[in-house]
Amino acid sequence: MNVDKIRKDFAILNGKNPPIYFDNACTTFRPNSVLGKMNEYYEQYPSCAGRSNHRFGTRVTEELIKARRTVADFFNAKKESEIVFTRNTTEGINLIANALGLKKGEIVLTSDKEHNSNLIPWLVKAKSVGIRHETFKFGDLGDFEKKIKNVRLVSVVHTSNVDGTTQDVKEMAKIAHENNAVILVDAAQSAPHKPIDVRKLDIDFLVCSGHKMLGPSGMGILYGKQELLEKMDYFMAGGETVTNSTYTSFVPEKVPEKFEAGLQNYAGIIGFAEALRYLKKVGLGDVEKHEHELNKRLSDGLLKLGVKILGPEDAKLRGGVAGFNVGKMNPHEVSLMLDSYNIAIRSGMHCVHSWFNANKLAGSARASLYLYNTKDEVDFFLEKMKDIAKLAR
Amino acid sequence: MVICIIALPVFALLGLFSLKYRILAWEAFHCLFRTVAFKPCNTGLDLKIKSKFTAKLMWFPALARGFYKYFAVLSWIFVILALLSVAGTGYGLYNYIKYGNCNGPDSSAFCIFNPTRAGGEEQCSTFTQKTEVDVKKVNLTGAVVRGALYAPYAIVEYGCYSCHYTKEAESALNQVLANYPNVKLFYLDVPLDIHPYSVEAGEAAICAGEQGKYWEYHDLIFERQESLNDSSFRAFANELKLSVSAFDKCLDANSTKAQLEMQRDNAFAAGVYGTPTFIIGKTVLVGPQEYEVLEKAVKKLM
Repeated sequence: MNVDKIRKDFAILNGKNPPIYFDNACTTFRPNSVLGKMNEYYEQYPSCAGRSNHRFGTRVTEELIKARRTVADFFNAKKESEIVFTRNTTEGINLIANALGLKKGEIVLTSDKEHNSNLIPWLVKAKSVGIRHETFKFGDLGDFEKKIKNVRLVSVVHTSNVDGTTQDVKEMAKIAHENNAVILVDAAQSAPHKPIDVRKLDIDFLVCSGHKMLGPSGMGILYGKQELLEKMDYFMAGGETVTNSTYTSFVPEKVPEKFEAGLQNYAGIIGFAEALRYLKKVGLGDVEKHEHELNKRLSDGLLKLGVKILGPEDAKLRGGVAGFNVGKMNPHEVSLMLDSYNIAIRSGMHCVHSWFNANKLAGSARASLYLYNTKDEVDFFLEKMKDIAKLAR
Repeated sequence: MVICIIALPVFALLGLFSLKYRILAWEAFHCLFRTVAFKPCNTGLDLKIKSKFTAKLMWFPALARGFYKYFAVLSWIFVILALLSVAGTGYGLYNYIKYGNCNGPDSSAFCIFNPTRAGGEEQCSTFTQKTEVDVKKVNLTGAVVRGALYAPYAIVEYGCYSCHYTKEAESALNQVLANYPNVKLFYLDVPLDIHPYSVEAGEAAICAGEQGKYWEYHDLIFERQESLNDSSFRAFANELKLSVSAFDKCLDANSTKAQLEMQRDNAFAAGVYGTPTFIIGKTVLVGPQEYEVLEKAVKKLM
């Protein structure tokens, strides 16, 4: 993988004083090809898909079909109709929470280290419908097996955005299916960094966001097995979700359109597909390897400075993420100081308040790497961290 | 965090020009309320200030460490200094409004609000060192009186006709004399060599005075101060319908020159080092003064 060549594809990395951007778990930069493809929609065929017969309508319909095919291929879905376009991961999870037909007393099982996106919808359902929400220890298959009995839905994060550790969702899916439960995987932090094959993993649903994988913001997808999607009720209803209607009745549209109410974010969909093509061209396996190398360098450097890393010290187990705390320093101080050196990292509870509160932690700083980051950037980061770490002594 | 007490006015001011600072001002505003309620600041503004300044000081690690470690103490120091500064400014403004001098009554120290007047730092002088004016040594020989001769109260002024500060002092001085008929002015001319035509003007005024028109001539010199030249003095004499021959004779007289020299010597002997210098009772004011300052000194006599 030629990082120098990759960096040339990102306008923001080719200006004066380019940033050292280590906040990729939050959102990533977009390559010129993605921006170009989105501009192309607005400049050449800014129209509606599946409705209008004119040439612009036809063109955008074609692009939409191509985009859905690209996404389906990327995740190795059986059919294109198993891909539903959403706004983001959160909307995908809410779609399942509201359309799966969860009933009072049914159990939804999540890990104890879920993003609020995969916690709050279930807490809300517990209040409104009376479902039961239970948790197991993140990554602990033994605990998972203990809790799986009578569970209707397992909803788990694949890779944690706190420390970058990954759960064995293939084994979880197997156990869930043996216990007649369905499984939803939050792949927001894994899909951008490693190859995911939904059929090999045999998961029922998968959600992710485009903006974390070089795509536009406000764009995500839900993968669902066809037979499950077909049994699901509406999440939002309206334009394009029916084939016909009278004043008193309507004929529902087939999946996936049934779940794509109203005019869609066509530029976003087309841009997202282009981002997936870009990642495929680079090779996700190479991206994963590059991140591991950088994270090892970064983590080893931090450990030498006496900085405490969240999760396992072995960088290989943490993908491209290094969550850390510098002594008793407030993590926001670390990120603010690094910002003064043009280094962007994240600090706080990373929308996983529940886990931090349970572990009595005020938060953490987090450096998250991606394909365009370099060894030199890591070294500069460590040089500045050396000064910052001295403050904590 | 107390630092928001300083941050609020600073960012509010900068916020007039930039949204970025308006947001920071809003954070400071929230932070201030929480600080007053003895709650920790939850907007992160204190962290931003602490972290950004620490990062800027990293070029000198010991300084950065000290700033980081003692940020809370430093914040208190800055806040106390800021409050003292605000209080001092308020006191200065009060003095300025009430006394025309931000340093308070009877002060001759420098005042930023009124540097050329109330402070008395600006005057015409040939002296590099300032001396103490000794009121007891004031010699009124040769002084010209303006106002009622028998007025019980007096202002003594040492002036120079070519000194623009003396000219500047005229307005407030004449106003005081007009408003207080029981006050008279003793004017003593102290011509300074550094000014062209100062000696000639002083002699000409004395000679006009011999014909009973000292003050008319005095006012005319100041009115045309910027354009004085060799022919000005005779022209003024003509304008005031003086006897030119008598005027010329007076100018040539050694006694006129001697009188002026004597006045100057007396002034220097009393410690006068610049013009205008006002002596009102025991109060000595150097430099052009505001009306209120002169009035206050006069009232002190009454």
